[in-house]
Amino acid sequence: MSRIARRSLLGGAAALSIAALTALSGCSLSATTGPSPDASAGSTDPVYFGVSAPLTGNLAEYGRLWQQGFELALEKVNAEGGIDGRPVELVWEDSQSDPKQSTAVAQKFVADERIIAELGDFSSNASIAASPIYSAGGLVQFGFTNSNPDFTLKGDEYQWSTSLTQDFFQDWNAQIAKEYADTVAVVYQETDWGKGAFEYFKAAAEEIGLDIVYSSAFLPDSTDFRPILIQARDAQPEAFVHIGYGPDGALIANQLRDVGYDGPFFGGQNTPEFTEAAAEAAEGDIISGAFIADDPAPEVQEFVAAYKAKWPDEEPGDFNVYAYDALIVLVEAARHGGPTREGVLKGFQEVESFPSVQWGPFSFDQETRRPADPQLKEIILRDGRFVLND
Amino acid sequence: MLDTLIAGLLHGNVYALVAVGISLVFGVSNVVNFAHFSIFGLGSMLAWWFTVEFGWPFWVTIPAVLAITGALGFVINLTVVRPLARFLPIAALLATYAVSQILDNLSQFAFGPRVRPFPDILPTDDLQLGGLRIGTSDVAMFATTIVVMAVLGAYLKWGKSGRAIRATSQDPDAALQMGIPVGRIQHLSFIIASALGGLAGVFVALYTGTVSPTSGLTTGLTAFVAATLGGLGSMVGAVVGGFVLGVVEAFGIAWLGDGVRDIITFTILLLVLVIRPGGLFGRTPLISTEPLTGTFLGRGRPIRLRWWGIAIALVTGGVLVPLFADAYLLTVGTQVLVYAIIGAAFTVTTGQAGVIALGQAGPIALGAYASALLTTALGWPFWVALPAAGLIAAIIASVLSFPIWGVKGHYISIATLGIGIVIVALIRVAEPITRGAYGIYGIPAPSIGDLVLSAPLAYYLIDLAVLVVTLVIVRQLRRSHLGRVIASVGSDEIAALASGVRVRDYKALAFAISAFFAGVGGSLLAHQYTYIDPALFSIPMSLLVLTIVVLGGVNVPFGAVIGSLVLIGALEVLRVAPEIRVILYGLALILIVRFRPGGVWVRRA
Repeated sequence: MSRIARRSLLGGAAALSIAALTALSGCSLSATTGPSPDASAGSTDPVYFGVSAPLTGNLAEYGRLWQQGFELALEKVNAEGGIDGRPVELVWEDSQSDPKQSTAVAQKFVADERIIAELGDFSSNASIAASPIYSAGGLVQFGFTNSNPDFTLKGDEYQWSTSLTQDFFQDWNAQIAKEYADTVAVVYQETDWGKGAFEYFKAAAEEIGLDIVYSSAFLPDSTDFRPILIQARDAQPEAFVHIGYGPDGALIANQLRDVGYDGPFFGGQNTPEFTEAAAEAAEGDIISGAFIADDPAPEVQEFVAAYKAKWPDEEPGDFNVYAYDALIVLVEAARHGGPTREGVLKGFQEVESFPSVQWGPFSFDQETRRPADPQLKEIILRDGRFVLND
Repeated sequence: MLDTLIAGLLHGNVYALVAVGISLVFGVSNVVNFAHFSIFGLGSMLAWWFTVEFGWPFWVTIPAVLAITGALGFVINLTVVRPLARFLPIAALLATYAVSQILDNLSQFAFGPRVRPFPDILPTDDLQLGGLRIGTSDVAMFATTIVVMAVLGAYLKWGKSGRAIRATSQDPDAALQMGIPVGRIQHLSFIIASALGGLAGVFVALYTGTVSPTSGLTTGLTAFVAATLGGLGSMVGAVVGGFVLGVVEAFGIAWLGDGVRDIITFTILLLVLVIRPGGLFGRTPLISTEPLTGTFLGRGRPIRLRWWGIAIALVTGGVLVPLFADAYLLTVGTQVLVYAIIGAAFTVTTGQAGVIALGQAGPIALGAYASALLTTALGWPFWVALPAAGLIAAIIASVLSFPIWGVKGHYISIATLGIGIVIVALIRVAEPITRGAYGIYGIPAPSIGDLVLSAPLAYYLIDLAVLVVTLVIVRQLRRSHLGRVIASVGSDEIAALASGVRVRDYKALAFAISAFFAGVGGSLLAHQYTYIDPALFSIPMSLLVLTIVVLGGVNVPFGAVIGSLVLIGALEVLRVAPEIRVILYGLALILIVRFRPGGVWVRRA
C-alpha cells in the first residue's frame, strides 16, 4: 500500500472518529446519571443487587465469608416475602478487590438496569476507585467493610457504609493498650489501610500518653517477621500491638513468642484464620468486636442459630455479620423507598432505624453516611475463641 | 545482633532448600519455570491435607507429596514445556506461568482460600538458640538441605543420568547426537526438581506454621533470587546463596523495617547480576546463543495488513464499536487499547532488540504517577501531562536500568523483572512525593474547554487515537535505519558487535523507546481509574504485557492489538464463571501458545 493511500486512510479514520465524537458528545462523553427502570407494581420479578467482591486472589477468603453472610440474610429476607413480594437476588462479580477490576465491575453494574444498588468492594481503595462510576450511574454504593473515612468523606450522597472508621477503631485500640501498658511496640501492614490505621493509632497514643517505643511496617505478603520482632522485643515494650489482617496476625503472634517476648499481644482479627492458628500465642488478646456468638441479644442468637444450622463445623465471624447486616439494611432501605435506584437512596436518607446484629437497632448519621454513635464490644481470646471481656 | 543473625540463618535455610530445586530446574533445564513456585505451594497444601484431613503420619505424608509433585512435574514437562521449548523458550515461560495460575486456582478451588494452621508434624519450638526458640523441624530442614545438596551435587557430577542432565542442558542437539535420550533426561530433571519443590513446600509450611493455596509466589521468587545469587545450576551455590540472602535480608529488615523488604531483596539480585553475573559459584554465562546461526526470535513471517485490513480494523475500532458498544464494553475496550499501546511498544525491546524484558510494570507505574502528580499537584492539563509522563518514564527507567544491559542470556529477563519490582517499591517508599501506599485519588479526567471527557466513550476514543499514533511510530521505526540496527542486535548479537554496533547502548535505547509508550499507557490508565496505588503495578501486570507481545508475535506491533484483545477481552468474557475463570484463562493461554507458538498474527514459516 502506498504511503499516500495510508495517510489518507488514517486521516479519514481520524475524521470519522471526530465525527462520532462530536455526534455523541452532547450526551455521552461526560458521565451522567443513567435512567433507572420503573418499578412495575405487582411484578414478581426478582430485585437484584450487585456484589463486587474478591472471589479469587489472596483476599478470596473474605469473599467466601461474605457469601455465607449474604446467604443467611437472603433466606431470611425472602422468607419474609422479599421486597413488596419480589424475591431478592444477588449478581456477583469477582474484582479480586483490585481497583482496576472493581471499576470495570462498576461499569457493568451501572449498565445493567436490573441492578438497583451495589454491595462492596472489600477494600477501601477498590471501592473508592469505583465511587465516581456508581455516583454517575445513580447507584448506591454500599461499602460495608470500608473503614477508610475517605470512602464516604470523598464520596457523595451515593456512598454509604456500616463500617466504623479507622480513627474510631484506633482510638479505641490505643485506649485498651493504655489500660495494660505505658509503652508499646507496633507493627502495621504496608498498605493504605494499615498505614492510615497506624497514623490514627499514633495520634491517639500521643494524646493519652502511650509511648510507642518501636514501630515497623510489614509487607502484606511477608511470612517471616523475626527480624522486626527481635527489634521490637529489644525495645522492651510493655505490650505489643499488631495492625493487620488475620493471617499475618497469627504468624506475628506465634513468631513473637518464638523470639522470647512474653508481654500482652493486641491485634489480629476475629476470623478463623487468626483464632485457629494463634490460639495459644495470642491467648488474652483483646480487640474490638462487631458481635460475639454468646451475646444473648435475640438478633444475635437468631443469626448464630441460622449460621450453625448451615455450617455446623465453623464459627461465625465478624465478616459474616458485616455481610448479613449489610444486606438486611439494604433490603430495609429498598422496602421503604421502593425497589429502584432512587428508592434505595431515599430509603437510606429517610429510614430512622435499621435492624442489625452488630448494634441492635441503629440509624445513619446523615452527614457522615456511617452509623451514628456506634458502640464497640470488648472481646478477649480465651482458649481459641473470642468471648466478651467482662 | 546475634539473634538477628540466627533469624537470618533460619530463614536462609528455607531459601536454601527451595533454591536447590529452583537451581536445578532453571539452571539445568534452561527454562524459567513459574509453575515450580506453584508446585512448591501445592506441596504445602497437600501435606496439610494428608496430615490433617486423613491423619496420615509424617513418614507417609512426605513420600506421598514427593510422588504427587514429581508426577505433576512430569505431566507439565510432557504437555506444556517440552512441546513449546522447541519453538520458542519464551513461549514455554509463558505456558509455565499459565500452568502456575491453573495450579494455584485449582488448589484454591479444592481447598478453599483460607489460611490454615499447619500441624506440628515435627516439634517446632522445643529448642533454644540464643534468644530464639527453634524446633527439631528446623534441624531436620537443615539436615535435609545439606543431604539434598550433597546427593544432588554428586549425582549431577558423577551419576550417569546426572551427567546426561548436564549435557542436555548445555547443548541438547549435541547430546542427542551422542546418544543421550534427551527427551527422557528432560523429563527426569523435571521430576526430580518438582519432587524437591514438594519436599521444600512441606518444610516451609512447617517453618511458617500456616499454609494457603497462593503462598508459593513470594517465597518462590525470593528463593529464586537466592539461587541466582549462588549461581543457577550450582547446588552448593544455591545453598550458600540461600543462607547469604537470609542473613543479609534479616539485617537489612532489622535496620530499615519490613516495609522495604522487596527493595532489599531485589537490589541484592541486581547487584549480583551486574557485578558477578554468574552468581557466587556459577560460571559467568557466555552468550546463550551461538553466533551467526540466525537466532530469529519468532518463527514465521508477520501477516501483512493490506489497506483493506487496516480500513476494516479502523472502521470497526473507530466507528462500529463506539456506536454500538455499551459503557461496559467500552470500558473493557479502553483496557484492551491501553495494553495494546504498551504491548506494541514492547515489540521494539522484545522483538527487535531481542531482549525478553520483564518488569514492564515499572515504566507503566512511572508514567501513571508522573501524570497523576503533574495534573493533581501542579495542575497541568492532561494533554501536556500525557507526553510528559512518557518522557519521565523513559528517562527514569533508563537511568535505573542503565547498569544491566551487559547481562547475558535469560538473566536479562530476571534483571528487568528486578528493575520493575524495585521501581514500584521505590514509588511506594517515596511517600512524601507519591503518597506511597495511600495511593492518589481524584486524578482528573481529560477535558477540552468546559467539556469533561469522563465517559467510557471518551476514554475509548482517546486511547484509540494514541494507539494509532503508537502503531504508526513503531512501524516507521522498524523501517528506519535505527530500527534495522536495533534489529541486528536482536538477530545476532555477536555479528552486530563485530560490525561495530554498540550492542548495550542499542538495547538500552530500545528499552527507553518501549518505556516511553509504557509511560503514556500508564498515564492513560491513571486518568481512567482516577485512583492509583503501587499495588496496581504488580508482577502479573508485567507478565500480562509480555504475554500480549508474545501472543501477537514478538516482531509484529499490530499483533499486540490482537494479543490484547484475546487476553484482556478473554478475561472479561470468562467472567461468566468467576471461580474457574482464571483456570480457563490459563488453559486458553496454553492452547494458543501450543498451536501458534510464533504468535497469533504470523504465518507459519
